Amino acid sequence: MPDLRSVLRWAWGVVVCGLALGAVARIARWPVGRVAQSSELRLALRSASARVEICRDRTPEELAALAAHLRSLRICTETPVDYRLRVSIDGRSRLDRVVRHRGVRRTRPLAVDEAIAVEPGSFGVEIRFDPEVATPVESLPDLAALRLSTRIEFRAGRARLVRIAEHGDLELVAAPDSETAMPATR
Amino acid sequence: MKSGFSSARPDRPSPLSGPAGPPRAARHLRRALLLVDRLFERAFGSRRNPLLQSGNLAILFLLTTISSGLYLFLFYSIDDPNGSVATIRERIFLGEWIRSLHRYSADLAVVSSVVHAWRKLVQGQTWGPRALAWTTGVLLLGVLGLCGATGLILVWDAQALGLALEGARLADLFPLFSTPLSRAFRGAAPVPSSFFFMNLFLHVALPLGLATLLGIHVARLARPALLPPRRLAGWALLAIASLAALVPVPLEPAADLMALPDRAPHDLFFAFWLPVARELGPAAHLAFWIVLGGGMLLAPRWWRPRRRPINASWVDESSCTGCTTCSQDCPYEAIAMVPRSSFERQHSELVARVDPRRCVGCGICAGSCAPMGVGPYGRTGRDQLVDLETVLAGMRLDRREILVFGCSTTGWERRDALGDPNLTLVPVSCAGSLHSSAIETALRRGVGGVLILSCPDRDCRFREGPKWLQERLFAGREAELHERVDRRRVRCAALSLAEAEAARREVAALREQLAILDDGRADDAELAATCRVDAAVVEAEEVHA
Repeated sequence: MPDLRSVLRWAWGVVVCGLALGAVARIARWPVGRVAQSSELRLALRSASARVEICRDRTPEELAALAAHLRSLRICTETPVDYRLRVSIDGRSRLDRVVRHRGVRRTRPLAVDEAIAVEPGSFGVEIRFDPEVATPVESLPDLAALRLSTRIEFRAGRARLVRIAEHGDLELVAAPDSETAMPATR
Repeated sequence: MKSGFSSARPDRPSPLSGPAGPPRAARHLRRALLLVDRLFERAFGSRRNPLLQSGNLAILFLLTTISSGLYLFLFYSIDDPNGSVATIRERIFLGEWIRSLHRYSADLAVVSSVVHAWRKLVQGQTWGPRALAWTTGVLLLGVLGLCGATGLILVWDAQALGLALEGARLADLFPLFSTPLSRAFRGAAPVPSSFFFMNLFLHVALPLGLATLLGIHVARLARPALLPPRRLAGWALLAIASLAALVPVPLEPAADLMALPDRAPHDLFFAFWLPVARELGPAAHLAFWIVLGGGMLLAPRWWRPRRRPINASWVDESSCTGCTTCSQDCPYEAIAMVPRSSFERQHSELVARVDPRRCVGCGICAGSCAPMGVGPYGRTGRDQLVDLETVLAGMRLDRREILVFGCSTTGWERRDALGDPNLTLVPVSCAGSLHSSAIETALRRGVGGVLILSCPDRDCRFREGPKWLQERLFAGREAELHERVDRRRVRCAALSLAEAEAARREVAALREQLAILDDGRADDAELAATCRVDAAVVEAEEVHA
């Protein structure tokens, strides 16, 4: 017959072990976060490198300083074009920033990954993604200014996504469930 | 070469006291650890207390995680991550149980590792020669965390999406990628299966890194014990298997890229940082990791006792007989046997040489050396005898008087813990450093009995103190307690401070034994010296007339 002391010790062992394992099981599935009450407008944009050539004529002094076989009159430098992203919701500006090319030498594509918190409801959203060239250039070939002006229905706990479509325009991705996307207009 | 041991030097440390106690800052953490230890030791005793073997248990749980993970790997599909996990739960034989076992064992590996680190930190085992073990331990914990996070992502539920997104936002702080990685989880396109392939690869490959780091972690240890004793391992596995059966890990719905983070269950052992990252943003998230990781790596610098360098052992080469015992007994492989120069060969072919970069100053070599020719400065066998003379001079030498050698690193230097004001307590830095001649001298000078209180076997600050003590006293290991010593007057017990009650019983038992001996009622066959070490009470075989 086991004595009372060892029985109590066993019981205490079972209790301690049970409590420790119970704590592990609880911490392994601890509820975290708040029930999402707001919505979100996401902008996931990516476009290939946009660059312009800025050219000028060399001055006579610069030409004289060069070897004879290097004396070309025109000098051009290639510059990446930054874009300016502006988002307004119901006429109120929510985002206005310059998007620069990624990479240390700024040779990587333009990429935007933004999330703007929005209250649930229906709002008029205007997005402008325009080239921003600091130095005046003669022309801006093939540099598209992207616009989207639409009304979007935001639901609590859900995000709405704007991206660049295959044809190059901004598009609002249709909600996967019964959320109906308003037709996007340029 | 030093010519001997001077006890007259004013800066001579006490030969029987510890090399360095923890700093003041450790007090609260140490108290908390003692409190938790007590809770477990009331249930399991120090010999089976899982907290004392947290490092071994971490490896056991890790092995359980890996073996259960191999089974899950057979059925996981990167093309349908969440769906394949659902299939494992619902259709695969024992799938749900093995998945739960996999998750809980990984969680417990983290818990065990943290307890192990906590113990080592408050015990001051993080600096000096042990800095390598601490650094690799912190890295092990980091790799384990990364491995667990990749595993949670494989399930691809709301928690997985959060981990992937915040991890990507962290990576996006550095200009490494042409497109922000976090964009992949914003819903612009489905998450490619290549992401899950990479994640699965990392999840499988990282344990190889864990194995490598573990090898470095224990590289400076002699005879590293990687696994817990079979009995404890069996109970631990039974407990975790029961938990997996009784409380299976649920599967949350598949991640919805267009849903905002909502209230959802998280495995905080691996995803504890997720709420911080969500609330504070990627820059603060990065700062959080820098502070946490840097703080852990640099903790020993803050923890290290000031102005108390390690008192490393040295060898009196004129005494060394080249027997190699100190080299064998050193728990840190800090002593090598090297050939003597031809000039000195009259002593022996080999001589012990201490590597001060590996020596932690435990003094176990001092207890191993019969001619008392090795040990930390001021704590060799000869120094112990000098110190003992002072103690004996102040004692009432009576055949019922008890002298207790208490391991001070465990806390046995506290007389109040033993509840007996009539005994004489001598703190020793490690019971394994106690030279058997000190015990013999005490008994020959008229002390009634000697009790040695060491730390629990698996919680020895210097790893092998209780083991070598037991072998030297009762199994004839060099430097053995001579046969002429009456072992009925010697007891030793490996107990933690939380087991003060058991220590008091040891004192009472020795008193009773001495009373029987001195009253002439002793029947030699009934009395035996005992040593409570390791898994069982070890009854000494020899009973001397």
